[in-house]
Amino acid sequence: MRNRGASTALGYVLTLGITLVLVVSLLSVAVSIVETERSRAVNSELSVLGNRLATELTMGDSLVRAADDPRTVSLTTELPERVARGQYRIQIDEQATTGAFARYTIILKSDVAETSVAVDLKTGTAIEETTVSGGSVVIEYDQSSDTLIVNP
Amino acid sequence: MVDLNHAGAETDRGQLLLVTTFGIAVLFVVLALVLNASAYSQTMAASHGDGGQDAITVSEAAVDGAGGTLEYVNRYNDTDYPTLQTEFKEGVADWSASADGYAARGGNRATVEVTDTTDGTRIVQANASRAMTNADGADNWTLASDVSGIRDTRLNVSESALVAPASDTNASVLVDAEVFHVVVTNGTDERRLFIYRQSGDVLVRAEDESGTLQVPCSVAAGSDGYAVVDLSNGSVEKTACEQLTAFDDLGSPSDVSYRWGSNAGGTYTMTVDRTRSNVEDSDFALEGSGKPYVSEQLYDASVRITYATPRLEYVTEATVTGGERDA
Repeated sequence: MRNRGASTALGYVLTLGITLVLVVSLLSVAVSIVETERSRAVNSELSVLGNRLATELTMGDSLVRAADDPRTVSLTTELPERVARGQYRIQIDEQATTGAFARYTIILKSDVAETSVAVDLKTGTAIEETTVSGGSVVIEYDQSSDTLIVNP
Repeated sequence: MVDLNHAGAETDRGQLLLVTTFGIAVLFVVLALVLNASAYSQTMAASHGDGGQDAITVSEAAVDGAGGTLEYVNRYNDTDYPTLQTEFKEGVADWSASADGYAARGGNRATVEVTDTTDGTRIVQANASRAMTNADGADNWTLASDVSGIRDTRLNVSESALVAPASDTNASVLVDAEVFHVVVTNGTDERRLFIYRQSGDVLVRAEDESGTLQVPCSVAAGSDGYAVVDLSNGSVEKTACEQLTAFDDLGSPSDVSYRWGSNAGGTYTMTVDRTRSNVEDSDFALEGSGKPYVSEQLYDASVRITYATPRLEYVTEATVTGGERDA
């Protein structure tokens, strides 16, 4: 009778322990899956945003080069301020100049997920190197320096 | 559920399972939200549009439209400069109003306005049987002074009226043989374009400011006995002649003159970027007199094109000419 009582307590503790281990392992796996998924989602969204900005910059470049004497070129690009509930930064770096064209890389970096995206583009009009925080940007042409400037 | 015959233990285990169930439910909700975020980024990629291409189309159409208007007023409203300017501005304003009305349907704006015009002068001889002398018959005369731009220069020369020099080794031999030539000079540098004939062909030969005489462009005259020397597109009787495109002004105000005009005959036309005050009135007669005459023209014009959409603002200035520019 006493043995059966002990067995009941032991069985109870064992059941509780196993359940705890199971739940904890399930939670940790689920959390890591969620983290990976989130990072992937952020990455794919940043890549979309980077390519959109690249398209707009290319369009700005076309508008400048299509005109004999461009005075004002101002393109508003509506980008979300947050990606997967986290802020991000946009960085424009010049890579190289070959002939009449220059290569640039747009780097989008998330502040919450450990991920960043680089988008390459080639333009005939110079683009000023800059870093702005994510959100809608205005691409403007500066006539005096013949460059495109990305303003937040 | 296993019955352990212990009411208290049963309650505890039930709670644990309930908490676990809720935990997993929350996990699934978070998972769904993250997946939703990735689905949203796909949607954004597809819903992308812009008006940049329209801006380029509108500005090109505006330049074409203003060019056509300039050509039209130069042809039909060439009474005086104020009339030309007024008519041109009105024509462009009409174009702008209709373009703006059309753009407004898409919630955009498109306007064109004239910012500047350059007064010019068109010099014409329409009488194909007349020598290329001035109105009084002078051989050597200046068509226009201090010009920095010439466009639409075309001479239709009669082969039979040209001189056939015995030798054409250098420029001074040609000058001595009284060969007709066009001279562009700024006082220090000089360019000459000789036109003569040799064994039934019309020869066109340019000399640059260093005194180098180019290899002549030798072309048979057309069936009417005339050859068209087109400085705008660089051709002689539809045959390409590269040296003609290089024959332009010297980069500073230059004078354009004819030498030995009596040794060439036919029609010619050119438009210079100077007002009528830069041509000597005594060299010209009235239109219809069969002698060379001048008419007031707009040489070129600057237009400002504005295209705006809610996301885009595009302002550009362009220069339009009523024809082809030579220099």
